[in-house]
Formats: sequence, C-alpha cells, structure tokens
Amino acid sequence: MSGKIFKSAPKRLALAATCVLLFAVAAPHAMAQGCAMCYQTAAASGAPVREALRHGILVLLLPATSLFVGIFAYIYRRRNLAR
Amino acid sequence: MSSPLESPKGFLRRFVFSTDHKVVGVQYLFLALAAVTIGIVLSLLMRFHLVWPAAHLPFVGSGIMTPEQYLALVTMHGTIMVFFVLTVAPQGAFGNYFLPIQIGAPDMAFPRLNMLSFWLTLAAFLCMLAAFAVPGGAPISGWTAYPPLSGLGEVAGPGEGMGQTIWIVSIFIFCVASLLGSLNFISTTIDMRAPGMTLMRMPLTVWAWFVTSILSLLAFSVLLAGGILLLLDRSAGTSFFLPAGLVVNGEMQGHSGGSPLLWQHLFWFFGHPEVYIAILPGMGVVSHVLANFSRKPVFGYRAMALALCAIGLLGFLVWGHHMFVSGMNPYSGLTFSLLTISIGVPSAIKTFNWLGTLWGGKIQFHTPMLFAIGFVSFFITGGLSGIFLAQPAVDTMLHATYYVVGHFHIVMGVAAIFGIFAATYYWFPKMFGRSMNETLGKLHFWLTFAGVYCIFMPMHFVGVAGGIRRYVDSTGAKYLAALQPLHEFMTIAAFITAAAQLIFFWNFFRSLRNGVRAPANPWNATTLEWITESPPPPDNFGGQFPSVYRGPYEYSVPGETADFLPQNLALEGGVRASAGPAGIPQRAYLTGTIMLLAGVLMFFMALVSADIVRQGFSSDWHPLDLPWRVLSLSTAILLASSFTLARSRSRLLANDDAGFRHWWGVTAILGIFFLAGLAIGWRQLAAAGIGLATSSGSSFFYVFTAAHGVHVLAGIAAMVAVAFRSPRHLTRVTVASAVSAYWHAINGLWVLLLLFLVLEN
Repeated sequence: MSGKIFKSAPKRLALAATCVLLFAVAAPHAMAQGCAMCYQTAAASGAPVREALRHGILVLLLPATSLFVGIFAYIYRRRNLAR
Repeated sequence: MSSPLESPKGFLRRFVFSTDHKVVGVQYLFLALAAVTIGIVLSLLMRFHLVWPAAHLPFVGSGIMTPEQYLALVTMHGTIMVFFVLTVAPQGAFGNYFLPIQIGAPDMAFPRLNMLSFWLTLAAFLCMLAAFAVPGGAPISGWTAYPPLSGLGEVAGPGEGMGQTIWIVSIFIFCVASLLGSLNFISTTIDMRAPGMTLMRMPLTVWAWFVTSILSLLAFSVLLAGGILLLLDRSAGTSFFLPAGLVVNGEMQGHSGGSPLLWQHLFWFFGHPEVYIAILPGMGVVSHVLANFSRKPVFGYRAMALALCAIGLLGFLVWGHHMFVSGMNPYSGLTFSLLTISIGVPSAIKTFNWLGTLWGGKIQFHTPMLFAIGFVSFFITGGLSGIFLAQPAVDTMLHATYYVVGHFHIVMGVAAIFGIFAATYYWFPKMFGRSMNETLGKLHFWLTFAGVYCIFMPMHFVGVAGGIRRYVDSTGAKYLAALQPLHEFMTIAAFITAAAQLIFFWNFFRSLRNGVRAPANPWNATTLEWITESPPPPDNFGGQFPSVYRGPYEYSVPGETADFLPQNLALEGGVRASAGPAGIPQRAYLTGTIMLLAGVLMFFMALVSADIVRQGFSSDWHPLDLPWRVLSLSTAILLASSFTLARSRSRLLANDDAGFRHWWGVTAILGIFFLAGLAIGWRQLAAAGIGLATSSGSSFFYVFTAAHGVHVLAGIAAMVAVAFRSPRHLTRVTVASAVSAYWHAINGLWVLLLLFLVLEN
C-alpha cells in the first residue's frame, strides 16, 4: 500500500520534507543556531536597529533566493536545448 | 552560429593573451600555485613566531616581529588563501579547463570575457601583494576587514593606511573578475551543451561548477557594494560603518551614526556562500573521482545533484538566520531555524552517497583516489566539530579560540585543498599529456594527510583550553603558557607538512617535461574529457563534436563486457560525432546579459539593504531635500529612451538599417541627457551645502545615483560600439536584443531606486 502511495518522486519528496520538518520542530534547542557574535551584537542593539536589520536581511535574501531559483528554472526550460 | 574556433598564431596570443579556456585554466592554476606558496610561507612565519616569539628574523625590520606585523601575516594569509587559492583553483582553474570539454563545447560562451576575468584576477593578486610594500605595510584587520579598524585609515595604526586601501581595491577588482567569470560559467552550462547532454547527464563536476557560479554571481555583487562603502568611509569621510564618538590614538574621529554591524551584515552575506564556493567544486571532483576509481556509478546521482543545488540555496538562508532572530521570540525565527538545520540534510546525503559509492566497489588506490577519500575524511571531521559550534552556549565559549581555527581549517581549507589535489593528480595527464609520478604522489598524500591532522586536531584542544586566536604571544598568561608544548608540536607538524608540499611541486613541475606520456584515457573514465586527445586540441574535439547518449558514470554496467561506457557511445554501439556547428549560439549572449543583470540587481539590493539598516542605526536621520524637479525630468528622459530603443529594435527587425541607426542614436543621446540631469542635480545639492559626507541620507543618494550613472554610461558605450562596429561572431539583432534587455532593466531599476528615495524621504 505505502509502496503505491509513495511511488512518484514528488510524493517521496513531500514525505521526506515532512519528516525533516517534524524532526526539526522536535528540536527546539537548535532554534537559536548561528554565529554567537553576530547574534549577540544584533540582540544587544536597540529595537529600531533590530527592525532595520530584519528588513535589510529580507531585502537581500528575497532577491537572492528568487534569482537562485529563477536561474534553475531558466536552465530547466533549456534542459533539452543543444548547442 | 558563428565560425568554428581557430588556433591563434604567435606565442603571445597562444600562451599569454589567449582566449582558449584551456590556456586560461592553466593560467589560473599557476596563479593559484603561486598564491598557495605565499600563503603557506605566511602561515609558517606565524607558527614560528607563536612558538619562538623572541627569535630574530632577518627580513623583519627590527629583527623581532611586532604585533602589527603578526596581524598583517594573519590578514594576508587568510585573504590570499580564501580568495586566490580556494576560490581561484577549483573554479577558475579546473572549472575553466574542464567544464566546456565535459559538456562537449569548443570553448566557454564568452572567451574574451574569460581572458579578461583571468587578467583582472591576476591584477587583483598583484595589487594584494603590493600591500606588503607600501609604507605601514599590509593591513591588520583580518580577512573579514571588520570596521572600525578597517575604516579609519592611517590613524588606526600601521597597515591601516595605504595597505588597507590597497586591500579593498584588490578585493574590488577580484569581485569584478569573479562576476564576469560566473556569468560566463552559467551561460556556458545553459547554452553550450552538446546534443544529448541533458541536465541529468551532466557530470557532478559540472553541476558543482554551475551552482558555485550562481553563488559567486549573487554573493560577490554584495561584497562589491560593501567594499565601495568601506572605501568611501576611509577616503571620503562618510559614516556607513563608523560610529560617532570614536577616539583613536587620542584623536576624535569626525564620523557619526554608522555601525560595524552593517559591515557584518553585508560581509557575511558573501562570507557564508563563500564557504560553499570553496567546497562545492571539491564535492563535484570527489564524486567524479570516487566513481572512477571504485568502478561504480555514483550512488544516488540524482540525489547528489539535487544536494549540490540545495546546499547552494540553503547557504544564503543560513546567513539570513544569523541576525534575523536577534531580539525576537526564538520561535518567531522558526522558518530560518528549520532552514539552518536542514542544511545538514544535503551534506549528509553527499557523505552517505560517497560511502555508498565506495561500498562494494573495485577500489583502485591511485593518488587522486587517496586525496578524494582524504577529502571525505576531513569533511566528516570538520562537520563533527561544527556540531559543537552550532550550539550557541558552546559557541559563545569557543568563539575566537583556536577551536574555531582548527574547525574551519579542516572543513573549509584542508578539505577544499584535498579536492584541488585530487583534481590535479586526476586531470594532470589530460591537461599536460604526461602523468605525475604515483609513488611521489602517494608519499605526498600520506605526509600531508597525517601532517594536517597533527596541525589542526591539537588546535581543537588548545581552543577548548581557552587558547585565544590572533594573540601574537601566548607566553604572557600562565594558562596560555601551559599550552605552549601543543603549539610547538603543531608548528613542527606545520613545517613537516609544508616540506611535503615540496614533493608535490617537484612532482608537478618535473612531470610537465619528464613525466611518462599519458594516453587519451589513462583512468578508463567515461566523461567527455577522456574521449579527446591529451592535451586536447584548440577546439577540444578536433572538429568532431560528440553527441551524448549516456549518463556520466556508467561503470561496471551489468550485461556489458566493457568495464566502462563512454558518454558518447551510442546505445546500439558505435561512436557518433558531427563536424559542427562549433560556434557559440546567439542565445548565449542573451543568457549572459540576463546573468549580468542578476548581478547588477544584487549589487543595488545590497546598497538598498545597507541604506535600510544604516537608517536603523541613525538617531539623527532626517529627510533630504533632493532636487526633485531635475530628478523628475531626468527620469522622464530615461523612460523616453526605453521607447526610442524599442522603436530602434523594431526598425532593425523590419530590416530598416537607417531607422535602426536613427533611433539607436536618439536613445544614446537621451542617455547622455539623463546623465547631464544627474550632474545638475548633484551640483544643486552641492550648492545647498549637501555633500557626500553630510549625512547618511546624502551619502546613499550620491552612491545610488553614481552607481546607476555608471551603469547608464556602460549602456551608452555599448550602444556606440554597436553603432560603429559590427561584432565578429554576432548578428546585429542579437546585440541589439542584449543591449535592449540591459537598457530596459537599468531604466526599471532607476524607477525602483527613485521610488525608494521618495519613500525614504
């Protein structure tokens, strides 16, 4: 039965992702990982600085991840194109 | 398609200013060898001084090394190793040489750009070395160049004057070279693949170089932006990274409102992916070599390719987590935390799949295989010591100790270097047509393997015992003095390991002339670099370009008599090749332009992000009275230029050359008017007493407009070039399309920047 349900690759991937998610949620001690110096310096700053940092991080992170995924979408569209 | 590649005539064109990717790859390799030699010498000087701090050194000014000189060694060792060895060798050298051949292409997509990338990298390297020779010497702020030390200038001490400026300029040039190289690698992988070379038939090395290039493209743009801001802090009196009230050597500094945290924000956006830029190509090489010498397909090829992509993507997200959760409820950062943790998943997939590849294989312990296994060993060791650093409580205690030095040297430095060694021994026969000596290679491996563990494992113990990194002399404090025997052991191990590298250099250079002649496929391997002669001809395949029918690792296939099946072997048997086309597809130019724009976008996003963070630090920030009338008029002119450009392109497609030239020229003139408008705006601001360093708002306004103006100027230059010169390998439609895409994107970017300035003010 389970063999049939998880036969396709997307379903297997979804199952794996769910397992990883459950595992991670069950590990709350790991939630504050990161470089101690950056974290503590940022945490010691005032509220406006922390808010600005969060916005600044998102402004860098969103285009970077979008471009990363976009380039993969681009090559996937050309996956069968030969020189 | 353009004409087939020809072999250039003359020594200079063939071996010095060559556009052949193989020559460029070898040039990168020799550059990396020179850099690693200097880097090792610097590290030996550091180790020597740590153990014998009172020893007289003949080449040091006063005979005894000063703390500043020691810190200069630390800075330059880190910088040279990270940028000019770990970034240059795996990607620039082997990627350049083998990526086109492995995908069945005659060259990189943009050969001239490739040559330019190398020469810029060399210029950056020479510039970096020049820092030793200027008054005050090399910088002392570490390879991370943390402000305020790096932003203050000469007042902060020796090395922080001209030396630090040269360091920033060198990194600036290096970033530009890396960006050009990255877009070339990406375009080549996307558009230059041979018939049949689908994504899932690409060797894992190609996957690794591709992902690394994307990381480089996105990360170096941000470092470039950060470097420019740091340079302005030093030379123009701005205060991006420098806080108010700094008193240095009794002098009150005139800066106000900046913060070193902004530099950490920008630098580590680059620094985190840089770890993967250094290690990912090594992962690709190791997968390649393990399969070859286990005579087995890579275990879980698809998972390995996806894991490479996942590591690349998560590398950015890990950075985001660093400060994102600061000051928040820990549960608020759940998303980032999960992503941080999940980077261990693809890393574990790779490790287990490497072991799975070895399992049950007919293992051949040639030198490249030994280094590949060594890579796996160091990757696991470094990964295990990293687990402890991932715990904040432990990390706080271990931070800035030798534990961290030992950890990152093993996982980022030595593992990556072992990947480079594996690649060198593996591909040397293909690159130079001769084999390296196996006995010397194995001797080199065992001495280096044992030596490296002897250097860096004790460092973990020194760190746990409280040994602080970057201390010039550990003998002063009692508890540190107790660690001296371990330091002595590590130093002796370092000298022995360095001596072992002489065996490598001897083997390498001797084999160039006297090595045993290598056949085309000495390792009985499957990928396309092994179907051509050693070394490959100028167009890589002697005019017979392969078609691909198989995956990259078909070893010991059941039912087949041969132990390996080359990728160009047709399923029904026999090898097929075609005489062409050998040129560069026109669509590669559009891909290259899109990638360039991706880099440009990240550069401006870095500036916007810096602006947002900087305003958060500034309690005295106030709106800027910008010359809105001039800016509005300039914007209207720029937007009009997009319409004239579209008109020009439509005339070109209608074969109306006169109409094309007319509207093309009008667009360029409108671009010049836009720049003139900006200049008038600057003049009005200056007349109102608002200069670059007046306030953070004015600083960012000048930086935004200047940076955008430079991009507009580049667009105008491209238009003029197209109008007066017809490119050799391109149709005019291709060039016009590429320039149009660039121009429209730059115009769109200006509108967004203006909107940001409006909202901000």
